[in-house]
Amino acid sequence: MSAMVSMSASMPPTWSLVKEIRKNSSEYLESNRESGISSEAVIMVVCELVENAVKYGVRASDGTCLDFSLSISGSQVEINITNGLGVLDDYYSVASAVDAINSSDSREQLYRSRLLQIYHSPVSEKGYLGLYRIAYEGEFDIACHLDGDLLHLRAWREFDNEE
Amino acid sequence: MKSELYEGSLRVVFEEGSDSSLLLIWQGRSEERDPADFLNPFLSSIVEKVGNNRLICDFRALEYMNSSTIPPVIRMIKKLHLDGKTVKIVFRRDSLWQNATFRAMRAITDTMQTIEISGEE
Repeated sequence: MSAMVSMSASMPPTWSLVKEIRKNSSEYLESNRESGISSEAVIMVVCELVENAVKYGVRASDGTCLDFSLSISGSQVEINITNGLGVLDDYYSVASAVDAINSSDSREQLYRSRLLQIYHSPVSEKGYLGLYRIAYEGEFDIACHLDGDLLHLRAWREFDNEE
Repeated sequence: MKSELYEGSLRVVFEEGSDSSLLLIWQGRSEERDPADFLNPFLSSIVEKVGNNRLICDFRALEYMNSSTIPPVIRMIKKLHLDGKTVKIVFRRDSLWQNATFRAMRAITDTMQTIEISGEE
């Protein structure tokens, strides 16, 4: 089985898009309940990724503001999100967080370390806590790449069928 | 004494408990874009009102919070700790996200003598 929720925004999206995508994704997951997928984990990941894209994304040179898709194939869930990048440093920050996640032996320890950083240095910054949360709490794998001024993020997880 | 915050789908209520404890009850969903804008001043004002009472910070009725909500919660914990308050933070242990989030927050509170995080029914 393969199915998908797909949404795009060609105008700079407002915060209401997060709720709209969450609602559509929840309905889609509800219709695929037999697949044993934790909708709670998936919706958290969807919301964190879309929130980041809406907060920090800009219109790219090809007109893209935000492209989102959620797909299920068997017990694998995959979420793809693309947004225009304002400054290249944002990509390096995201890539650094993704690298830290993928090279970590313990995602829980990584997340706890990030919380301790926030405790000791609470000054507002783009800390991408959501990415660490996706990896630890959601148990999703994450990858990112840059294509011109487009940032692509992919998150995926293979669920077992015991839930 | 009672104070309430309503913002979007989030409700936070501060009130007196059945004994000498004070309650800070979180309900609904915290999913606004910049929750620090309204949570930081509200929570700072609550910490000022705690006095010598024990505070029970109850998240069990909170359905969801985005990661932008976590820094204001950490900031509140820090202020409570620096002020020497006695606090019990309660989460719902049968909730996957609450269990993961608050278990990780023990990284912050593990060395605090007067602040505990407890998973309950």
